[in-house]
Amino acid sequence: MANLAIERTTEGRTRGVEPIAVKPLSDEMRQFKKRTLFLSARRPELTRRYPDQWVGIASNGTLVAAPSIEEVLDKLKDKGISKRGFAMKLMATQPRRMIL
Amino acid sequence: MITGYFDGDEPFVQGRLIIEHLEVDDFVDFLVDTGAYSTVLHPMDGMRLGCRFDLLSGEPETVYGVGGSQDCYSAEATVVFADDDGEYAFPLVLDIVKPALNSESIVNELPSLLGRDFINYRRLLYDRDDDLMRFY
Repeated sequence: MANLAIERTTEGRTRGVEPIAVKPLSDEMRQFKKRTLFLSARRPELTRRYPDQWVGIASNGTLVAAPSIEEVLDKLKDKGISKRGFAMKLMATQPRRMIL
Repeated sequence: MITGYFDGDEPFVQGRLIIEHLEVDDFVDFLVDTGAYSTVLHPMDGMRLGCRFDLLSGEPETVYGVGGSQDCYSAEATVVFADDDGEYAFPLVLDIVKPALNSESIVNELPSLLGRDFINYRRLLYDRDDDLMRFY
């Protein structure tokens, strides 16, 4: 019965349970993860330096910070830096308690 | 095996999201959310990815959460996850939330979600104490 319930609730959502393609791990994927983990690991320090700002690291290593996502993206554009692979997190001094 | 990570106490897994007709092909940090009916692209990532929200068509579906409701558009997408051996592509129907007009809306700050349309079909190891979060 449990399996039937699963099929009903996600019916039509999943086009394939098994992966459709497998290829070697790309360096791009590896580097994105590295940048994200850096932001996470350095959160205390980055929060002190950029309180309540969005902070991100571009694929060329440039760190960008601004109070809003739009401003971060504008800064990237102004500097001619690609958004691709841009890792970004909010450095909240008082993180919101969320129930999603 | 797909390995995620904890940012504080929040479980994330990273993937490359491809939505061809919305010109999206970039990386996303998905919050793993067993409470989410489906996988969702929220505005924070949509804006960063340059998602062509203007090309979303059809009637949005209203979905409900603890904090209220929001309109979602559906789009066929592919999420590519990586493990130590390589990259695996999973096709799914993604829910997409357009940015709120009020730029300070909390909706614009929500992380994208990896929902039960993926989680239900995998075995999940979740161990915050040992900093382990893996899909098998």
